[in-house]
Amino acid sequence: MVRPTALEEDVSESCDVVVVGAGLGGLSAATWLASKGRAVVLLERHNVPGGYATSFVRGRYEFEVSLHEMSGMGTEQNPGPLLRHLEELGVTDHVELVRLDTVYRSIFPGVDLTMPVGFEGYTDVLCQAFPGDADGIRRFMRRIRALGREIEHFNRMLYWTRGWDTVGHALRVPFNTWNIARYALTTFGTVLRRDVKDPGARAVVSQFWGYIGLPPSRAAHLFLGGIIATFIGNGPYHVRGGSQALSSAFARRFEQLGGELRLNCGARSITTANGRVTGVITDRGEELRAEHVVSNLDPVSTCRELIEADRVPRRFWRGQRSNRTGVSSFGVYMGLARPAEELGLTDHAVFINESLDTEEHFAKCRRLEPPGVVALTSYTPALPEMTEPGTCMAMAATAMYAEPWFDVRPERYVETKNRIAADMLDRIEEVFPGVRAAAEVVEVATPVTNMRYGGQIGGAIYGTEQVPTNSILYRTPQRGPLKGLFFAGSFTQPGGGFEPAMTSGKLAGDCVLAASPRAIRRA
Amino acid sequence: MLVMDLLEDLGSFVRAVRDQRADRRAGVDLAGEELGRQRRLVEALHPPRMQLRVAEVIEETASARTLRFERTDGPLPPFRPGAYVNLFVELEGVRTSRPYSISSAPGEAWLDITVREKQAGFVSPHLVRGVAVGDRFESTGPLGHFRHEPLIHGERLVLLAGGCGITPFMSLVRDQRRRGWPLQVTLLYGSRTADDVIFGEELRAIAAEADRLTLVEVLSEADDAWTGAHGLLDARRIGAEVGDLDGRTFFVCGPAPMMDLCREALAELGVPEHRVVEELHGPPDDVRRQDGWPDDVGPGATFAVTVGDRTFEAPADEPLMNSLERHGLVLPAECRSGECSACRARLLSGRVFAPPQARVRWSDLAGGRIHPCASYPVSDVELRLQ
Repeated sequence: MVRPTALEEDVSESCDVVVVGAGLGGLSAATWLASKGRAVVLLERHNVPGGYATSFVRGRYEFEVSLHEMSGMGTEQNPGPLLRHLEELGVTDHVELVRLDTVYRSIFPGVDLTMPVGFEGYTDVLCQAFPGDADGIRRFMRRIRALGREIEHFNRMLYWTRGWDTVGHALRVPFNTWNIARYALTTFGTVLRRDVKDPGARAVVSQFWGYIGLPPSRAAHLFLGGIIATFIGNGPYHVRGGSQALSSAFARRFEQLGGELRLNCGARSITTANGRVTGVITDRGEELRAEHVVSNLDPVSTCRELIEADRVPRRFWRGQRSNRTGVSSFGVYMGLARPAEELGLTDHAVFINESLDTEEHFAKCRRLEPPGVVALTSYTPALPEMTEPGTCMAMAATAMYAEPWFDVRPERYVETKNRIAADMLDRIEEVFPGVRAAAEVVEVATPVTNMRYGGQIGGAIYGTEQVPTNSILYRTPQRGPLKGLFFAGSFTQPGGGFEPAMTSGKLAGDCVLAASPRAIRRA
Repeated sequence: MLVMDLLEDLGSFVRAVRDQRADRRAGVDLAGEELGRQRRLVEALHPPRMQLRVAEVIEETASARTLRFERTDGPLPPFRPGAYVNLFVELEGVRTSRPYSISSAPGEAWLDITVREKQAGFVSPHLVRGVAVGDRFESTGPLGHFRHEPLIHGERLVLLAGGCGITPFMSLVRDQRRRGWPLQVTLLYGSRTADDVIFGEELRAIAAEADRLTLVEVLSEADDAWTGAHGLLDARRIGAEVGDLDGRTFFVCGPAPMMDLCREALAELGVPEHRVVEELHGPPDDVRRQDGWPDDVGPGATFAVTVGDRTFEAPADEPLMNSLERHGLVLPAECRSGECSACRARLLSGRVFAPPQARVRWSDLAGGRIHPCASYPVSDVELRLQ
């Protein structure tokens, strides 16, 4: 077998921390630890860092793989805690954020609303469209807004617990926990139903359910409500050059801080002795000794495939048993040989719903069927640099579970995915006539594609299902079942998505720092 | 009202915990066999590597052979006509690889690649003349994006093949025959002489029985015995043979001069750019003829390439990847044409020339990354190979 030769021989055989996987969780953990003086080796099996936060090129089009819109950046006047963290790490030196001024456009039969950023504007648009339910809508939006404030406060505590900040945050805790405590185990749907009666208004407000992968009836209110609040309150962001630019900025900063990134080299196994990790064997067979390993692969695959089965305590599996593998995704990437404006693709996020029944849309995610909702993201108006002038790039996505795909016979795979993709293109064509005729490149990605590149169980894009009992603080913690083993990524606290993945890495880093207050060796 | 709300919140606590208990009892998702089943399907569709054994060597023309492989480490994966495999070889102590379009149809028990010996080639002479039945190779799984995409390309195809560029189209024609011609195909196939025509007999036989395939053979250097078309695949020829161009998608594969000619011809005929699909097969034949090649880098120029603590001289007009391989530095390789990013590496200092076919991510360009398989040193350069 022809393998790349070990390209750099000056590899240190031991380090403080090995991070397995350079998804955003791994990158975030590795960069944070490197900034704290730890000697970190970051392993990535792919040829480019980023996990799903990446792009691919076909002909004259570069496609954003996963980022629809990013939260956690706050506003210009009031930068979000994650953004301040990234600034302090130096990651943002190499990244340009692009702020978007609408949250999304929502299309249902008989409804077509473009929702602006800002609670006042958002609420007004909704109330105008559903005047009979205006009181309920306003009540609900107030609730969401209050929850958003509390979550933001907690996020600030997570990232800024230093000096007087700590005291200030602590003093405000009693005033910033009421909603979090109250809705700790409540679903989004429970809260929504109470206030909002109009099924149309409910559907528009719930539109982001695809960004968590569970319908209102099952999604944790703290998570889905929190996402909605931050997107409405602060506005969504893109990254100049696509999310790969963010991943590359992490990687660049990580290396500047003395970290060692190895691409094309995954982890074959995690070695253990006496109930604690002792290092990692890489794909090339090299042994890296380290007292701490952060795995950005999902906890189940980590413990099933990288660690010998009898080394993992049974309580870990008991704890994981109630976690259901969450949704994966189905995506149609489109390179279009006409300007976005000519095709009407001016709103960055358009949700095309076939009905108001969000619950039914979710039920379809378990079947090999055209979806109930198509999330069409048009990147070019905000990110013209990713394609040639006169062309544009868009992606149609929907949440979909992996299970039925693994019953498809390999030779029927293309036909199966194209059947669903064709229906999605038809639906887009109805709203944006001319898209199909302008299509120069189409790539269809399925849950199998996610699994091929991401490697995590079920190709799950947001980790395990984010029901109230598996959300934020109730989710699998960063601390793993063995001493020295930590997890980062969407399967762990706080949950799925760009901001949560980066936060999970910061938390994993914090856990490593707490477990070893001093760096053992300098890089 | 508030009391009722709070009671409801309390109720949802109870429900959540009850749901969790139910989930725990059902808890089947995380079973090990599920994970294994998922990995097996990924592997069946996209094996990263395949072990191949030469089952047959078929002489196509004086300079072209088909190597018929069987896979020894599992069933052949499905692929779409137009796909390629990157074949790894070790010659004269150099580990390298070359991408070849698959010329057999999907679903066969074998996998064919058809190789024409290149003048002054390094790998192709060996594959054409030095391979025997029973020889073993390793390759990637089927890869690539040169394919008919039913979602957007319609049912009427025009295939423009030049010489050995027939190979991906042969896979498509064979596949169409198996499936009863769901597509209407016009194949314009240009060769130099009658003796150079690869798959000529088989194509003529298929065209004779299939209404949906129109085959036009065009020879550029025909002798008197040739009764068919004579000339090049230019606008006049394409216009005359294809007729109504509307609603057709054009696929082009052949040597660089032929591809350039076809591109110009289709533009002249008014075919929109996005209805023309071009295959890349390796780096440009003569990079010094590419637009943008620096004038001051003449033929025979060499530059110092530094990787880590090693430095060697490399010719300017050879892809960096090939020079690196000759010095024992083997990069991950798939397309070897600049588009797939498998060999993505870092240019620490110096300048390289990248032809337009090198497709580097926007953020990679900004971050000084190059694709060495389609990058040429035009100054002394220092690289990091990842």
